[in-house]
Amino acid sequence: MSFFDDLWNAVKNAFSTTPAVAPVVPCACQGALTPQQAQAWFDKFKARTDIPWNYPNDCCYNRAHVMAQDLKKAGVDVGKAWNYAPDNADALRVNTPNDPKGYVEWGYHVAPTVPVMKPDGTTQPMVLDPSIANGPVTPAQWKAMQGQPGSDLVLTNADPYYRTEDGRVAPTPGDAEVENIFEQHREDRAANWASTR
Amino acid sequence: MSSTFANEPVPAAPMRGPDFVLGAVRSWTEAPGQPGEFVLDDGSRWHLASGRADYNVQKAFIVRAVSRRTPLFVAGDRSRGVVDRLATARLLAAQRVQAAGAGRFSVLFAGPPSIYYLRMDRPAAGQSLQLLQQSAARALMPNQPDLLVGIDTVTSEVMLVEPLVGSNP
Repeated sequence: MSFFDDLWNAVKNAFSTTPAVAPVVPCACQGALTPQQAQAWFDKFKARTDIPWNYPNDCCYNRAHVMAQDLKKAGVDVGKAWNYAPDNADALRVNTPNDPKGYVEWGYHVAPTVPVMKPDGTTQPMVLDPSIANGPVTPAQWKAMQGQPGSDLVLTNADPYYRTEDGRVAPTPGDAEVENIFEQHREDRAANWASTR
Repeated sequence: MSSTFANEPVPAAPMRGPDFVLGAVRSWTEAPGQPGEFVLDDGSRWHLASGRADYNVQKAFIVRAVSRRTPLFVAGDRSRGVVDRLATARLLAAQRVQAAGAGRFSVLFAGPPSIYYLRMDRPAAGQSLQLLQQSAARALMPNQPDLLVGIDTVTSEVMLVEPLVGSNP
């Protein structure tokens, strides 16, 4: 061994031969939105006339599915927020001019969530629910809007089309059936309001 | 103090009946200036007055029932064949049925989020309640309906429940 061989080995041994765990550190913002982008998505959904936002009696599962599909296609790391009433007597309750009674009572409610970047680089899930809100809201705010402190808030990925409180999931219908459900609910909405003064 | 506005929407009147019927539409005919007429698979014949303000809204339910071969829910006077209001009959499974006081039971179905109410002073309410409770005991999912249900969404009332023929819970 020459002096140079010894020097070279000393240099090599000074560094680990183990490769870095991940050459690229994933950014927490991957699939996330800025607050402005989240509001833009919210506004875009609310402007869609094929989605019956004004029929809170029914349809939240179908609305959530369609919004989640669009967000997913755009690369957003979308999820869903589910809020379950403890029982029928302690239902979720939202006052709304879009129901003839002036309010709706729900056994559960669902809407999509998106991760929104905060200034410190972390993300906050925000709920997009134009049926009851005017912009993105936190899951806690969304739950509070439904007037039942004893309700159970569950965050899931975007996959379940319909989910029971005990976690059972129904299969997602095809696109034609999803559109058929919207059509039926648009007709139900129209029948609830017979005329104008 | 209340106020009204020129374009304030007015809720439709609650379903009056006196009869409530669930069934498939066998035929549907329309002629200018004449009431629309449909016949259900039980042979009952119904007329939808052409002059009513919500004619097209009600007609949409008949057209849907014919084109998609789904049952129709009819509230009206069966003896005279006069339609009060129509709705799409719902294929549902009950998830939770609870006594709600004032002679009512509250019902949560699998799928629709709303709480609906069954009034026990309605005709056939006892049978409807029994069917709802049996369905809830089966813990079915929305894609496994075992009931045919007529709902008045104006009042959130379950008007009529029948077993879904051919369901295999």
